[in-house]
Amino acid sequence: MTDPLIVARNLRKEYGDLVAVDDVSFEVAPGGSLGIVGESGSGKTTVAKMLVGLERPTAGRIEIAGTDCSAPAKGWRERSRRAQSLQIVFQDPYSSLDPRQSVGDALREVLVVAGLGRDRTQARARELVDLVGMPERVLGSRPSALSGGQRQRVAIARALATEPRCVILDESVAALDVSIQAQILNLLADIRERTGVAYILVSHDLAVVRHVTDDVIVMRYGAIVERGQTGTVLDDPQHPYTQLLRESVPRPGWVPGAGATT
Amino acid sequence: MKSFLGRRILLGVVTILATTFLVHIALYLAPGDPIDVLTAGKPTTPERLEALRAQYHLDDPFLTRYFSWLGGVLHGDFGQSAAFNTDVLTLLTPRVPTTILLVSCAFIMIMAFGLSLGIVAALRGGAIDTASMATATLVAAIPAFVSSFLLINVFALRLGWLPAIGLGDGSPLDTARHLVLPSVALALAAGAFVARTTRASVRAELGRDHVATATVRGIPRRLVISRHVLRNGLLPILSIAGLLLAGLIVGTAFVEQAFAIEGLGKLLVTAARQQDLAVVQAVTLILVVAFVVLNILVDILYWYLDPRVRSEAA
Amino acid sequence: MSVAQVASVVRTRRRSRLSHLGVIGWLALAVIVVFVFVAAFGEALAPDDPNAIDIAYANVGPIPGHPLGFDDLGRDLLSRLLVGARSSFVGPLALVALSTVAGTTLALIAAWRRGWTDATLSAGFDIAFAFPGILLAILLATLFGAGLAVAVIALTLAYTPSLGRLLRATALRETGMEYVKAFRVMGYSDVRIVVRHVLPNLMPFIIAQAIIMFGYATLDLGGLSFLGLGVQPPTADWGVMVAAGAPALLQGYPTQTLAAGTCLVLAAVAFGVLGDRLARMWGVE
Ligand SMILES: Nc1ncnc2c1ncn2[C@@H]1O[C@H](COP(=O)(O)OP(=O)(O)O)[C@@H](O)[C@H]1O
Ligand SMILES: [Mg+2]
Repeated sequence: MTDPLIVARNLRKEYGDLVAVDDVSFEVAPGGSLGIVGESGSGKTTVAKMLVGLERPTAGRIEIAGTDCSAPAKGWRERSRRAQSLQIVFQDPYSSLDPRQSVGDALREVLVVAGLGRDRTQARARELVDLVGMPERVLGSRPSALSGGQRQRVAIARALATEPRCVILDESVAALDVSIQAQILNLLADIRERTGVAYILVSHDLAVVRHVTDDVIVMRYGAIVERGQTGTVLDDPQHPYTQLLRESVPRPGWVPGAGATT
Repeated sequence: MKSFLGRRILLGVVTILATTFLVHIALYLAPGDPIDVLTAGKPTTPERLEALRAQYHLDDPFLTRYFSWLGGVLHGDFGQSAAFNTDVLTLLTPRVPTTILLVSCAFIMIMAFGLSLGIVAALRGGAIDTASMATATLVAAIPAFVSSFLLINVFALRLGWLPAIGLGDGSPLDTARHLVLPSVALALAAGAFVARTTRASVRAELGRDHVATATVRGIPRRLVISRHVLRNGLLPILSIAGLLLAGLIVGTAFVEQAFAIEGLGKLLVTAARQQDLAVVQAVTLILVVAFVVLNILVDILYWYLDPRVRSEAA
Repeated sequence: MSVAQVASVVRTRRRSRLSHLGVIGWLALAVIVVFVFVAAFGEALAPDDPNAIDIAYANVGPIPGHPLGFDDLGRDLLSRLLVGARSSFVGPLALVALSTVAGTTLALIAAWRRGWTDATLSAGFDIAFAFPGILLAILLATLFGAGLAVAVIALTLAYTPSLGRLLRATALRETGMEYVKAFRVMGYSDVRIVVRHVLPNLMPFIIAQAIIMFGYATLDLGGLSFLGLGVQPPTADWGVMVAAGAPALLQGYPTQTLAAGTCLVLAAVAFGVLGDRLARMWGVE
């Protein structure tokens, strides 16, 4: 087996007295995919932020592509080096793009910062909007002219621009309508097939994780309560919390009040 | 209450001490020898130079100098004025009551007219509201050094109702007559500001749920207004009272200058023009102390009137 | 609509047109344009030499060719008012420019660094905010001598924290946006994020505040000049003219004082109204 792309060992994050993340470990193989599920407040976003260097772990170790990334990058050189390995797409489609920047400008700026020659950025920006299934003319649009789903496609295109080896999607479809969610999830599966990028998919919704990830960890109060292959865990959950999560998802035949209350 | 008051007073004392320190080191920030600054560059007798050296302890180490100077200040020894050739205290004594009188009159006017205008505008609405608020917006932009002359021109010179400048012969009635225009000049802009703030906050209060509920419950409108609307609606005024008072205190510089009133403000400006540091230091200190003390009083009042603040402080 | 969507609508509204200024806003803009024009070309517009003294005409009222009459030294009043616009606006311009740059820089540093940097700067803003600018100006004039430069510096020290205080709150909100986090993850340098993205998004707020501040600056510097602690006579300046006309006013010749005072108030109101309207139009009150 090849070396893992991302290794998280015994991650812990405290905010004052609150332990947001407690002894979390996992690995993601190159081209692999990991789901992180848990209800709101279980520490999923905090894990994601530590991985991308937006938060400093209180304890634990992060390795990405063989280099130690436990602490946030010092200086922008290291920051931009790490940017080549790992990217993130946030939840809120309305604030994750600079409102003043057109889609084309946003994409070209990432490419320029990543060191792509200016003459090649235009072609690459076109490729990227095509990759996320959008027409070329959106390159000239401001975020305010786009719908939530379109903005999220742009955010995904931006995250993929520099061909990172892994992308974290932190509740990236949660704010969207169900039909749009399905489109984006299909898109992600499609992109993965074409580019071989690895995913870490963070969601409170089991159905979302099921479609896209091979492995899953279930978090509660900052700690992992169950882990395994996605299909196995979701079909035959061992931990009562996972069962609870599964039952609280509305599905055909679901009767109000019959499921567990959370 | 005790701890709140204690903290507030402590903060006040710290502010005042910091100001004395800044005002004192100002002497050494000025270009040139401190002694030249103190004599405002005028030719001076050797005796006076000696007196200045002693007053400011210029031959001692810095902190000693500061504390000796501060000790003197606490005993009312503000030193000698270079421009007026006399004791600074002699200059201050007659002027302090004049300025207090002026600021008090203006403050009463602001509260009386500003509040009532704001309340009436908010409760009545319609044309009265629009007209009075438009006027208030304009008046709030007229600084005291312009409104003073407008008032003198109209009410003293054209109509002849009131005296133009000075404080008169000293009899209470004459002093009162002389105080009207300067007080109005000092009060106008701030009063207009208070009117606007009052109107906005009473309006906001009128729109609150509990006011609607009280009205629906059949409580008479008059009662609802006096009990809920005005009580809560006027609190924000108290929170701007501190800034307002600071503005009034500084505003005396302009009004006393315009009306040729011998108060602290005019003294401050005259001394500044002549670079008479001892006087400027003294007046600045007095103004800052007044400002801090008034702010503490306002905070205590606020504390008494607003139950929310009270529970927070406890 | 979610909170995020509401925020987004507000942000789009920033792009609204100048037609939303309203009649009063346009009027204010027109007054400002006229004032700026006069400040630029005052000498050329002046019908007479603003400094030509002729005691024979002291306090003489309007006569043909001299629509406002003469001041206490027999100088043409209209010419002095026109020429005085420049000196009355140069100080505020410098003051607003200096304190906007300083206040913005400090606010951005506080909002970007957060933590103790922010705590220290905010405490500094609060303390400095409480000390009246005019008093500081008087103190500095005593030490360094009266003059426009000293007055501008003193007021810059007073205006900077008040803008810093306002802007810090807005900047904190902006730097908390997810696009800022995304840019950090994408390897953008701090300077690039702040200068190319955060700052431009704050510009509507900064511009509106600077325009409002300009109104206050005109009055504060005019006031200091009135006290003899700003622009010095015989320079034609509105604040100086208010003071210079005072003795004549008491003798029944109020034109100089009142005309100069009116110019100051008009300018202050115009800048205040325009800033206010722009802030409302851009949704950055
Ligand atoms: N910056 C912060 N300061 C203090 N507490 C935080 C901070 N960020 C997150 N938390 C807390 O940490 C816990 C985990 O939050 P988060 O990782 O956002 O959960 P999730 O993404 O699973 O909803 C929550 O209780 C949250 O309130
Ligand atoms: Mg989250």
